[in-house]
Amino acid sequence: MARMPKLRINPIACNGHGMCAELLPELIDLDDWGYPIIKTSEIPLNLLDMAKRAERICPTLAVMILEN
Amino acid sequence: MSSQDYSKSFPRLGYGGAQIIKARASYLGTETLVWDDHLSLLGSAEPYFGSIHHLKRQLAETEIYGRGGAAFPLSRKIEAYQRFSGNLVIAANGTESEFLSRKDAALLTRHPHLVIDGLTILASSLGAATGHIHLKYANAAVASVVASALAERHGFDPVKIEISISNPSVGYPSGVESAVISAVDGSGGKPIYLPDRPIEKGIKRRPTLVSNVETLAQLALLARFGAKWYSGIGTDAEFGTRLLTITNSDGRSAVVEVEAGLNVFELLEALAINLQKTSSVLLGGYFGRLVPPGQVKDLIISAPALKGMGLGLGAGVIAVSSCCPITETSEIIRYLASQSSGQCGPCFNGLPELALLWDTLSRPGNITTVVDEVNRVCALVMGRGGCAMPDGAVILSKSSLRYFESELDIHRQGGCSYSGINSYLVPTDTRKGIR
Ligand code: SF4
Ligand code: SF4
Repeated sequence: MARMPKLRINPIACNGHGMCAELLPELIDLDDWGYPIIKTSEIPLNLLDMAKRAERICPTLAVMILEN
Repeated sequence: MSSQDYSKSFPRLGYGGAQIIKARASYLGTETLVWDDHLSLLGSAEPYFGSIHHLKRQLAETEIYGRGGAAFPLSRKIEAYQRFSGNLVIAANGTESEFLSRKDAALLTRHPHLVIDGLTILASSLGAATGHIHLKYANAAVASVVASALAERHGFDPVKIEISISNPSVGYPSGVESAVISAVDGSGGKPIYLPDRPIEKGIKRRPTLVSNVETLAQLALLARFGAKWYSGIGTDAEFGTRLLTITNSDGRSAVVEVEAGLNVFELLEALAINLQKTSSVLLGGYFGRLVPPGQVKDLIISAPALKGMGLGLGAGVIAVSSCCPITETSEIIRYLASQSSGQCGPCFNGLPELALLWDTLSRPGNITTVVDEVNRVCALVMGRGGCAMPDGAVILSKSSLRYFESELDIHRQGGCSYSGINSYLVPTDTRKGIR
């Protein structure tokens, strides 16, 4: 079975805009200060398009998808 | 020269210029061993240049655990970087950004050539054409010793070696691997995002191995004299010697070389450090833990043995405190918060919050909900920085909550067992600010 792609956030680049959490509430929570917490790093197939959108729209390019 | 000539036993790094404290502990000499003295005492390292198989064979028999803080086995690091052979860059990390650590500066002052030998042996063995020695900005004397040493060796090393200096505006995180890479590259010297090991795109976007200067000095001894000699002292848990910076509760400190396996209590006793008035012992520096003095008798100088107890020596820091351990924890966390490079939300938001909570805990009063809040903020901070500095604050918080529960109880009831005693474990100029 192919392994699922993984979600990763670069904490140095991230500015806490929170857009990623709006697009992917299933995978991302926001902390007290508005920075993303990855709940599950494995991206299920049905969320992959949304994850790719988050990767594109993050203003600081902090969202990354690691393909296996 | 044969290994027997150099030193049958102890000390090693301090051989020929140190005052022995007791059979297994010695001060590191302070006089620089210049090139000629270095060669006549230790012999040339040239036979070991480019000798990857020799190096790996020795390390297979006796491991060297990294001395910069993480205690990562050197054999595994070499293994991980071997595939980049030819394209690799090596950086010797002498940043020593830990406030309580002086051992790297002491080593570089005493044995610049041994560190350079280690760097050249490793670089030439892994096919690296360039090596960097990265030093702390505040220590110009060390930089000039290293520069003179490089000049003395002119043409000797098959590797081009350059000195670089850390950025003074980046404090504690300037010693992080990725910060060293950023500094050497002229990119500011704050930590950068390089989550994967081995580092494939480091200095000049090339694979980069970063190793602490003491690790390299130990490697130079191992390569020269072999595993049999190296493991001639120490214990099965760890062989050889290591450098430590020991700080007394009045803030005075000394750099010592100790044999692996030495009991920490015996070591402190030999240094005439009285544990009777001690409230806690900081083991491993700001990235370590404060432990109650009663536990010190069970501790031995060995990275793997301490790891088994959930402890570590970090960059070789042991500091004794007679101040309230809750206040001490609060001071250290406040210091760490002041050192954030301001890049990651969970760090520059979370650490000041944690510092405020610890400040509350350090004052007598009802603190039950504050302890819960410390645990909650710790969970938010852990593993979420671009470097591991915030994790250090979490690890210290968690261990102090556990080890000093009874003192917390006393605070809860409005008291403190140690009121009026000052802390010497953090730089005083950072105490202002956050509160
Ligand atoms: S969208 Fe980008 S910048 Fe905004 S919170 Fe998510 S990762 Fe951070
Ligand atoms: S975690 Fe803190 S110190 Fe480390 S890079 Fe981020 S902001 Fe800087």
